[in-house]
Amino acid sequence: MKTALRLGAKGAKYASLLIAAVVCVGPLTVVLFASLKTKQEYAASGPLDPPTNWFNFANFATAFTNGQMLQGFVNTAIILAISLTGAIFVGTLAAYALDRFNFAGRKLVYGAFLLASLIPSVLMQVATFHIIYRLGLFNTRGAAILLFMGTDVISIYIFLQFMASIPVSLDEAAMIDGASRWTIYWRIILPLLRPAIATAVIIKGIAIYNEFYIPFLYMPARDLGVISTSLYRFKGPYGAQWEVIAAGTIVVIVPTLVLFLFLQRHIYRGLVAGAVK
Amino acid sequence: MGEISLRTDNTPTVKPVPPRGRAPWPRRVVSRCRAISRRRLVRMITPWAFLALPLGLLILLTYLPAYNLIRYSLTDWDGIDPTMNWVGLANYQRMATDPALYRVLFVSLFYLVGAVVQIAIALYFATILSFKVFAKNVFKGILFFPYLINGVAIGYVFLYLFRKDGTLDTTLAFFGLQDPPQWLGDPKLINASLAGTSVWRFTGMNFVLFLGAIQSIPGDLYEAAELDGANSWHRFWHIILPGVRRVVALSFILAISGALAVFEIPYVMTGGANGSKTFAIQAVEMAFTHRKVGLASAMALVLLAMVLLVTWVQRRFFPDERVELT
Amino acid sequence: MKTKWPAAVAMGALVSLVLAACGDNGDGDGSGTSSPPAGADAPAGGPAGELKVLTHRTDLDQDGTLQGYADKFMAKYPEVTKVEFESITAYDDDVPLRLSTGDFGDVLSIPNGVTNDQLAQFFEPFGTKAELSAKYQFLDSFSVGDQVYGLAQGGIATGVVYNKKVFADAGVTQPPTSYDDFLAALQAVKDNTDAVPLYTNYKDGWPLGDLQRNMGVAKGNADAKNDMTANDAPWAEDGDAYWLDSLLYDAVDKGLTEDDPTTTNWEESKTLLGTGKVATLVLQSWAISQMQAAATDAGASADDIGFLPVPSATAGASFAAVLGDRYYAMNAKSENKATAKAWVEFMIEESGYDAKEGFVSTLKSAPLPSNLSALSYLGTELFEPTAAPAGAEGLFDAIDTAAEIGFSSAPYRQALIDQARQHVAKAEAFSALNAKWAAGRAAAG
Repeated sequence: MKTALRLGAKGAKYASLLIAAVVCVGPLTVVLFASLKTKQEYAASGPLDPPTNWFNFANFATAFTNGQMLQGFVNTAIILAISLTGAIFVGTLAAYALDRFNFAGRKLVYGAFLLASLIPSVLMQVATFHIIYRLGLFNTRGAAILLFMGTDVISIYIFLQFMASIPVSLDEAAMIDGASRWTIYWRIILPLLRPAIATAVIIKGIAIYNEFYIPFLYMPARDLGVISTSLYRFKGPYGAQWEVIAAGTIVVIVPTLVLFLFLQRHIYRGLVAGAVK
Repeated sequence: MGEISLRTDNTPTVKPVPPRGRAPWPRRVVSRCRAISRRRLVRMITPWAFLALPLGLLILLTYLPAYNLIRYSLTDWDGIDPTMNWVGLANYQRMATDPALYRVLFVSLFYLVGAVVQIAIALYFATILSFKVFAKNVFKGILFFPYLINGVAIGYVFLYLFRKDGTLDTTLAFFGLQDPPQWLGDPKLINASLAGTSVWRFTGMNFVLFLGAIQSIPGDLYEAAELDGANSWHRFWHIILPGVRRVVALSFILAISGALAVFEIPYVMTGGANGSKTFAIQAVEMAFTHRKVGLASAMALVLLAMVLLVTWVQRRFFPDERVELT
Repeated sequence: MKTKWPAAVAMGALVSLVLAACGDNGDGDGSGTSSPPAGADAPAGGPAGELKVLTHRTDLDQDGTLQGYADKFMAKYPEVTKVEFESITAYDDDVPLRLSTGDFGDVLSIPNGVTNDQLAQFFEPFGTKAELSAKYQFLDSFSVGDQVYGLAQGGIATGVVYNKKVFADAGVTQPPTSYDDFLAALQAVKDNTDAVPLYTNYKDGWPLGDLQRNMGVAKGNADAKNDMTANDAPWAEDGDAYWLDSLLYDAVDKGLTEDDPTTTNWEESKTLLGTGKVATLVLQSWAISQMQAAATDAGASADDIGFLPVPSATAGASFAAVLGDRYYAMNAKSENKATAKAWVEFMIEESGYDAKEGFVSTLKSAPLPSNLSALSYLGTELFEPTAAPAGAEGLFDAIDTAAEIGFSSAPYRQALIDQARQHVAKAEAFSALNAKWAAGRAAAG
C-alpha cells in the first residue's frame, strides 16, 4: 500500500515535470516546424505537423537576406562589445567606491542607484529622448551604448555582493606598500572580481541582446537595426508569411540557446545575485 | 575625471595616521593641521572621484530625465512644440479626480493573479528539483530557458500560439476539444491569455531564485526530520517553506510592482487593443496618440509613486533583506 | 500607361467642375497647360550635395523602389551625390518626437499629430498658394494663410475595395452605393458565401485611423470637419460623424466582420480579398493597385477587384472625397533646401510614383488615374474637402486633443469595435462620444 502510494507520487512528480517541459518547449518547437515548411506546405498543414523536409532552410535565407538579420547581428555585436566593457567599468568603479569607502553621502548614493532601478524606464523615454538628442547621439549606435552603459544597476549589485567577500586586508596590505587607491582598484580588485564580471557580462549581455524599445526608439535608421528591431520589422512585409516570421524568430532564439547551454551555471548565479536586490 | 587626485592619494584611510615627531612647535602645529585637512580633503574627494563616472551617467540618463519629466508634468506640452505652457498642478488635479484613468489598473489584476500562479508553479518545481530527480539539470534548464528569450520573439511565438487554428487550438482539437474560444479576440479572455504568456516567460526566473534558496537550507535539517519520521509534505511545510518564505514574499512584492507597470507583452502582442490596455500603455498612448505629454508625464510619475509605495512596504516588512542597502 | 482616355477625360472634366463649384480653387485651370521642366525654377546654384529623406514607406525602402527614384534623380542632377532614405516603422509615433529637435532630414512625409498652427515652426514653405495653385492641387491641407507647407505625394479618392466575384456569388447584382443597400449586400455575403463580408484590419490599426478621410462623404458635405468644430453633438443621428462611424459600428454589431479582429493582418488582408475570402475593405483608391497585385500573386484575377464609393446616406446619390494622401514637407533647418525642393518636384512630376500607386496626380495637368473609372461609371460625385477657415487651422485638432478622442487614430476606432462586439447600443456609444467632444469644445474653443 505504502509503496503503491510512493510509486503514485513518483509518477505524479514525473508527469508534472513532463507536462511542464512540454509547455515550455512545445510553443517553440511548433515555431521551428513552421520555419522549415514551404509556403504551400505551411498553408496545407497544421501547426503540430512536422515539416516534410527537415533541411528546408529557404525561409532562413529569406529572413537573413531580406530581413537584414545579418546587419542586425553585426550591430548587436558592436553595441554589446562596447557597452559591456563600459558597463563593467562603470559598475566596478561604483561598487568599489560604495564598498571600500566610508563617506558622507554614501547612503544617499546607494539610494540613488536603488531608486533608479525602480523607475519604469518606458515611461521616461520622452524625457530621455531629448537628452540623447542634445548629446548628438540620436540615430547612432552611441545612443544604445550610452543608455546600456549608464543605466545598469543590476551589475552594480552583483559586484557589491562579490566585493564583500574580498577581504579588506588585501587593500590594507597594498596601501602599506604605498599603492594608490586607483592602483588597488585596477591591480587588485578588478582582477579578483573576474568571476563576478563574467556573471555580470552574461546577465547584462542577455538583457542587451533582448532589448527592444531602446534601439527601436533611438536608432530608427534601417542600417542600424539590431536583432530585436530587425525581427520586429518582419511584421510589416512578412505579416502574412508566418513561415518566414518563424524562421526569424528561431534565428533570434538560437544564439541565446547556445549561450545558455554553455554557460548555465553562470547564468543561474547571476540571476540569483541580480534579482534579489 | 579626477585621476590626478587619485594618484596623489597614497594615504591609507582605514586608520587615523598616528602623529609623528613629538612636541611640535606651534607653527608646525598650524602647518600640520593644514596638512591633515588637506589629507582629509583628499580622503573626502577620493570616493567621489571613483563615483564621478557612474554617478555622472546616472544623473545624466536617469535623474535629469526624471527632473524633466516632473517639469513636463506641470505643463500642457504636446511633445512637438518647442514651447510649453505652465499649467501648474492641473495634470495632477486631473489624475486625482478622473477615475477613468485608473480603470486600466483592473487589467493589472490579471497579471497579479498570473504572478501568484507563477510563484506557486515555481515553488512546486523548485521543491521537486531540489531532491533526487532523473535528468534534473535538463528539467531545470527547460523550465528556466523561456526567461532568456527575446521579448519580440516571444510575442511572435504566442501570437502563433493564440491565433485561430494555431498551436493552442490544434492541441485542444487533438484532445477532442472542438470549438475553442478566441484567445485574444474575446475581451473576457484576452487579459488571461496575455497574463498566461507572462507566466510562461517569467516562471523560470522565480523558479531559479527559489531553487537557490532551497539549496541553501542546511542538509542536516532534512536528516533530522527524516529521523523524526516526517513525510515529504511535512518536509515541505516545516522546513522548505520557512526557508524560502522571505524570497517568496519578496517575489510577491516584486510581482505587485511588476503587475502595475506591465508593458512589453501586451504592447508587442496587441498594442493594448480589445481591453488589454495597461496603465503604462495608457500613458504611452496619452503621449503619442493624444499628444498630451504633460498629462502622460504626470501619469508616469503617479505610477512611479505607486511602485515606490509597494517597495517601501517591502522594505518595512523585510528590512534585513539579503543585500543590505543600508 | 494604360490610362483609359475617354473615362479619364470625362473624370477630369467632372473633377474640375466639382472643384470649381467648391469655389476656392480660383482661376488656375491647369488641365491643359504642360508643366515647365522641373529644374527650370530651381534656385541658383541648383540641386547638389547630399539629401536625407524621412519616409513612412518602409516597404518601398526595403524593396529598393525608393533607391530607384534616387538614381533617376541623381542622373538628372549629377551634382547631387547622395540621397539617403530613413524609413520608419512607427512613423507617426516617432517623427513628432524629433520635430522639435530639428533632426528630421531635409525632406519628410508630414507625420500625423502635427497641427497646422505648428507648421511654420518646423517646415519651409514651398511658396504661396497663388504661385503654386496654377500647377498643383490639394494645397489646402497644410497651408497657413497664403503659405503652403506641404505638397501632396498624390491624391486619393475615398471608397471601398471589394471582390466582384464574391458579390456575384452572394447574389448582389447591383453595386450597392447607399448605406442600406451596402449593409444588405454584406448580409447577403454572410448568408450566401463563406467570405467575411467586411474586414476591419483591427490589429494593424492604421486602416481604421484612415477612415476619418470619409468624414462628410456619406452626405457629400465638403465642410463636414469644419462644421464639426461648431457642433456639440456630431455623432447625433444623421450627423456627419454619425454616418462616418455607423458603417463600422453596424457592420461589427451585426456580425458582418471577421470573427477575431485581434489576429488580423494587413498583408494577409490583400490576399484574402484577392482570393475571395473577404468581400470588402473600406480603403481609399491607392489600395486598388495593391489589391490587384495581391490577387494576381495569389493566382486569382485582378479583374475581380472593384472599387465602390463609400455608402451614401440616401439612395440615388453617391460621393467620394478626393484629397491628398501623405504630404511632403521641407525641413526649415535644412541646409540643402534647393535640393530638397527639387526632390519633391521630381517625385511629384517625374518619378512615376503616383502612377505606380494609382494616385491622382498632384499636378493639375495630369489625367485622372484609370482606377477611378468605376466611380464615374456609378455617377459618383467627387469633391475636395474644404480647408479650415483662416485663423482656425488648428481648431479641429485642438478640440480632438482636449476631448482625448483621437479622431484619426486607430485606438479610437478599435475601442468602437470593442463596444460593438459586445453589443453596446450604438446610441449609447455615440452619445458618450458627443459628451467627450462637447467637453473638448468647451476646453479648447
